[in-house]
Amino acid sequence: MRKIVLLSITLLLSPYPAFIALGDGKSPGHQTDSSGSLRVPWEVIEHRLANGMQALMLQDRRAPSVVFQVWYGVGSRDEPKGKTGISHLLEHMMFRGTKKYGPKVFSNIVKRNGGSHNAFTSLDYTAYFERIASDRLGLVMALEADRMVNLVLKRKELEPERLVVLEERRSRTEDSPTGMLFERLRASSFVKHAYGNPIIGWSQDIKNISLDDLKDFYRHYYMPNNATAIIVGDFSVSETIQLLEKHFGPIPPRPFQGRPRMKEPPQVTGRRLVVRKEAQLPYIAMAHHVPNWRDKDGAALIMLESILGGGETSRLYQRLVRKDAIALGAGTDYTYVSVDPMLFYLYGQPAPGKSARDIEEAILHELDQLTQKGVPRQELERNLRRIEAQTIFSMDSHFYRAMQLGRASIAGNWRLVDSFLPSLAKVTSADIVRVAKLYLRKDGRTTATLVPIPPKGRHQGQKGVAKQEVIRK
Amino acid sequence: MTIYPMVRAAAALVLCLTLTPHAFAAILSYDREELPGGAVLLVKESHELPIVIIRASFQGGSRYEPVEKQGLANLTARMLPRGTQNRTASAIERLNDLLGGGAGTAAGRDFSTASIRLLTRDLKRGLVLFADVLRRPIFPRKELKKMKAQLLGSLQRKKDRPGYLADKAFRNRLFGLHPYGRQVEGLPETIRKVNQRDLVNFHRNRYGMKGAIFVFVGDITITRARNEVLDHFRDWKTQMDPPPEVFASAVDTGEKMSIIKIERPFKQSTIILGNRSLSRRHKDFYAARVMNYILGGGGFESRLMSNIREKMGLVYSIYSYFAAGMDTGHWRLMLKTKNSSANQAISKSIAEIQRIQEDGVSERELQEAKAFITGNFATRFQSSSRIADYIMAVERLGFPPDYAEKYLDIIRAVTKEQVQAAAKTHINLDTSILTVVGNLDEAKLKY
Repeated sequence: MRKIVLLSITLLLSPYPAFIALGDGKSPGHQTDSSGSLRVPWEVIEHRLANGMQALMLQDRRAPSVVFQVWYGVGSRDEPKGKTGISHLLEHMMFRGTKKYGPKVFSNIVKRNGGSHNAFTSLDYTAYFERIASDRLGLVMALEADRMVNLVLKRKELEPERLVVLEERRSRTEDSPTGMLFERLRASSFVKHAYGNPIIGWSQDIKNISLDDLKDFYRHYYMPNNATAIIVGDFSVSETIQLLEKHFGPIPPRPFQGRPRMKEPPQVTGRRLVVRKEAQLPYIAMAHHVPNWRDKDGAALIMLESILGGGETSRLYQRLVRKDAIALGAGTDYTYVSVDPMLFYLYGQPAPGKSARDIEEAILHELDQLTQKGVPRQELERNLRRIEAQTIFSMDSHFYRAMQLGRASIAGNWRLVDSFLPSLAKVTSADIVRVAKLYLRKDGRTTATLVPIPPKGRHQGQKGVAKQEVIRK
Repeated sequence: MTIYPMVRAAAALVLCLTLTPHAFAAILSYDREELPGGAVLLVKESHELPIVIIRASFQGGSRYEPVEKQGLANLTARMLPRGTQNRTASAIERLNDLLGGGAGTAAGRDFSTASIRLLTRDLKRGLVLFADVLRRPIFPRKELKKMKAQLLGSLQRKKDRPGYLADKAFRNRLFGLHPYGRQVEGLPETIRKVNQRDLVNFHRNRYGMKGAIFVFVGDITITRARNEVLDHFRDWKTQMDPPPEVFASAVDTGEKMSIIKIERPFKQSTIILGNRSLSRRHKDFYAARVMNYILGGGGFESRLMSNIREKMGLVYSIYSYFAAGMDTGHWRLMLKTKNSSANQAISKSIAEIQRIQEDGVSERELQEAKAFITGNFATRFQSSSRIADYIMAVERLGFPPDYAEKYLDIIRAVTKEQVQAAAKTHINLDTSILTVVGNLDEAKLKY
């Protein structure tokens, strides 16, 4: 369902504040605090088990069900060289049986109890979740606690799963022009940090991961003291704490070596790469190294992302798509909540008859305009209001609320959601201009262009196709 | 941030209702009122969050457009916010962004929908915008020209997507010029033919109180919702010229499966296998739903997933579903596999279809399927948007607000015999169409 961009859903990226300051605070039926801010039900209860496992609970009684998630502090950033994709492959293997239950039993138990389940892996984390009627919360806790320590890894189960993951890679990346473009762009943007590796892994690595590699990786990262449980929905806090203690409490902590630390050296020259692939239309994306929530500039970067690429009135959409109609889509993407600093993307897809260069020039022109003229107060206000409203809209879903808590917790502090909106309100036009100049510089930019090639069997050449796959300037 | 869910949820085009006996009553009790002018109002109050979700449905789907102007319904819906008697497109965009960017319009095959999501504090302002866009669009020529160019570009871009190519060819062969055989977006040559006058007429004919359904979920009362709808829409007349005749072109239902092969340089073959099948109101829908859960709709629990993914590792995604529409429908199985495995994946899928047709299902499979379908119901409504979608779907089908209870009872009563009969009757390999998009040199199809 994603439209043109392929990176993320902005809503998923915005953390929730605990109390949201709404303009007039006069909505009937809702409490307001002394400052007139509207108080929304977002009260997180934190509980820490003796073994170091963290639990975050958020009640929402609109439906008699719960979302239960277990997050592990491990993702593609933690993978050893030559073993990319191991976090994700292990995530798949987590459904293939434990000492207590054979393969497939996990899914069968959850589903015949009316629950649904799944898992996801990203750069910073691996997470497992169930959605189930409130009275079955203990059941899914028992299952998650079991596979936290009792996973059985067998060759017979690994080999078909490896094939499944290779199929997954074909769908997501190899048969998707933009999927491949963004994979290569990230790989070129990071020369040292493991954020440059694809989450799903390089094909060759997926093929080479051994059973022992998986066992070592599992032992290294899957333990209560590297896990966070999140519960959102209709439940009793005291009963849930008892259940957590009952199911996860007995699991002993293990010495945790910690996650690898790494730092990407500053990028001092611009880089360019060209991906040539069968495709209908070109595409262009530019990546820049930026700080995340840990840095005071994070808030200004969120506003910059929104002004350039958020919503229908964003500058890139208005100029490229609506006014000049030279692009089918254009936008921005910035990850504020992460373990290490990530990237700020600018991207666009040319309309038929337009080139990637047209789009690149137009995007950079808009960036120039912004740094030269700043942002009018009205535009700042409109963006702030939109982010504020969307933050509240996103609370409508139990699952997204759990996601926000999980991501913030993994990034270092779930409470960072408290300061999010108030910090945006303080951002000025001068701040935005400053961070745009500082971080979206030409020298620090990696630009990737998708150049469509005709399908095989036809031999006519194409103008303007670069000869080299990667050109470094 | 890219996330990798293990399984892509099978597109749930079917209305799937599942519930536990007591749970649903609280979540899904809502008010229904018939309004003057022929509209229906449905309201579900829930005051925990300061949000109101609003949806309006009209009889403005692509089934009401002439075949030579395919794409008209979609263009009409998408052009609604591109200028009204009172506001320019830019003014609408600015206001929408101020309200949180939660407004949207879209056409489907049977209906068109407008939706808006508002903070309670913005309700008044939001409804003024909502009504203006729905009632007083002017479809400016300049905007229409841009919209058409945009659509043509996006149709071109879609050719990179194997799933789109396969679906387009499959539907077309299955239903011909029937709306279910066409793409809602239309075709480049038909989009070019649509002009401003067509939009004005389509809007005058298909949008109005008659046949409209308004759904409100969230921080609002029935009284407030009724007053708002009547204030803004009471005198909204629909012209309702007779719609074009909807016909299903004769499909060659020969003695054996027919095959469409589309050559593209993909690493995977994208495969759709399916046949024309029951409508949503068919009495067998419930047994068919249970049957399909066991065959290919039940995620990891389904036979297709267990055997073709888990055991053999041939696919990442494989699933089946009934797309049961208002007057007809289809069943399909969809999978992707590396080209060289295409034959194996197809033959294994066919074997699974034959097995459920010939041997039926076990008592355990039946019980587990029913336990999931009934037990999962309450857990599906963890957001107001999901509740709004559900309420709208029930009303569009013409079912009463207590439909969920009945649904549950019927599912519980489904027998093994009915499940097998549904497999035999509603999946039909002889009249099915196999569509393959991929590198055919590598696939070496034996079909």
